[in-house]
Amino acid sequence: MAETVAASRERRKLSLGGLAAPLAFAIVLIGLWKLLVTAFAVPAYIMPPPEAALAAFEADPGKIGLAVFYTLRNAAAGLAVAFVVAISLAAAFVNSKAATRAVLPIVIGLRTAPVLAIAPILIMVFGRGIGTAIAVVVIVSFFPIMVNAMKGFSSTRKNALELMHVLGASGAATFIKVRLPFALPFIFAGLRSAATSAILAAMLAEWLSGAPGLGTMILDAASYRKNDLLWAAVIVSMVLAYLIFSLTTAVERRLTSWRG
Amino acid sequence: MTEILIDHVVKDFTIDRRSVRAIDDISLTFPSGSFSALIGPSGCGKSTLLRLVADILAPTAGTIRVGGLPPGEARLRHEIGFVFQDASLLPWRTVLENIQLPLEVAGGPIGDGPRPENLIRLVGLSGFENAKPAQLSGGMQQRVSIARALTLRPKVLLLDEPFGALDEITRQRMNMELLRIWQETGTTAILVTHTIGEAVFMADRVHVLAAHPGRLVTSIEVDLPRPRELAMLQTPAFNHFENAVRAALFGDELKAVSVG
Repeated sequence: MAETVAASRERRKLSLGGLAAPLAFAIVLIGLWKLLVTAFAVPAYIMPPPEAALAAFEADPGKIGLAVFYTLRNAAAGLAVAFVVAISLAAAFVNSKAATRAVLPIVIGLRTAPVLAIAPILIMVFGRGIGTAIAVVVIVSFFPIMVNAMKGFSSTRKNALELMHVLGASGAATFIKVRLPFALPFIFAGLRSAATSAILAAMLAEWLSGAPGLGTMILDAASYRKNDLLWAAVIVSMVLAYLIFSLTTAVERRLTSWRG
Repeated sequence: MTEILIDHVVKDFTIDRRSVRAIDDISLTFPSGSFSALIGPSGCGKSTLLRLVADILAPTAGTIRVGGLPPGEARLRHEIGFVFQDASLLPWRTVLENIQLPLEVAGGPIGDGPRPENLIRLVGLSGFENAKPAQLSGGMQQRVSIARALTLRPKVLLLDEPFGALDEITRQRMNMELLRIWQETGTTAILVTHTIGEAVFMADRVHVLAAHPGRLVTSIEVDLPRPRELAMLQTPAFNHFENAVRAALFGDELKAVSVG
């Protein structure tokens, strides 16, 4: 039995390191792109060939790199705030019915309000810089983390809670030693979907506020008809979202390897 | 010494806004250092009674004393060890780390409490210190949970059908070991079980309960010599006590039929 568990863990590690398959598929996609553009003679102002996008990337890697940095920074900062807010709210809701009744409807209201509708207010309050970007990212990404964390915190096995009670553990000790670890798989499920939408939200915030970043770069490239740069930026943003998704998955595997 | 007293205890639960009586006026004494068994059909409140002694639940009426103290106080003094029906191990911790959990919660050993390494030897798990629960069989997991219950040198050991999920052979072997551990540690033990043979084999006194509402039918003194040995299972004396418990269990059922 010990051997089989070890073996399955080994297999999983191998498949995690298997970047070859997605890379091969990406190359196939780029090949299809090239084929499509050549076969149907798609004009470059609609869809440039892949080498043109690559050239645009090579022409000014610093500019794209800086845009990636801004977007990534805003997404990461927003995600960090969202994570803290979401976990705190979820912990409060699980521990107190009164808090749930008072705060949850407002939280859901905030969530369902379209970001576009409240964007002007956010820009007025937080300015045209990182503040608005963080606010938009928080609004978009805290909800999946919170919902999953709530599910996770209330999924703790009853016997484990009774055990901590018999041991005379404080609420804080029970939370840190039992509730939080049991909830980690749920929290990561939320974090995974939140992390990818955080990139999207950061770019959206740039569109709304005009702050520098990948979103603004795409918007500018589109309006100046810099089609090669536009496609380069779009692909970079997709790769970025994919990498972040993979990163959260890898961290999750590490922290929750105890799950059979 | 640590005598457990249950005096006219009543426990009501509220289910669908209706009050349901789980335990109806039970009075019992568990002498210090004795091994007692609680046996009865499901719904007789035997697990509830154990949880009342452990201060996981509070009685609706009546008093409970553990070594002269209210259960809550005994619990906070770490005088109560509880073994759950499922091992309730924390799956991300190793065997050793699971056994150390009570020490972390209590902030160190209580008096000259046993060292975790010695406990691992006591329950026969030497060499498995760094295994994760998922790598252990059900019987081994339950050994870990018994070691964990003994970490803070409790004066009382409460066992809630600890071997209910194990096969007959493993269960018999675990029972022998449990008796050895109980004799080495000198605790006052209460075992909840639904197996007649197990109750007779383990206990000095078998308390037979009836269901709906949970109440005491009778208490049977098991006057078999200690240490108990497997060969006793085949003696007329053992059969005599088994039959006495069986009569108490099923006699009650017959009465219920003639009334209804």
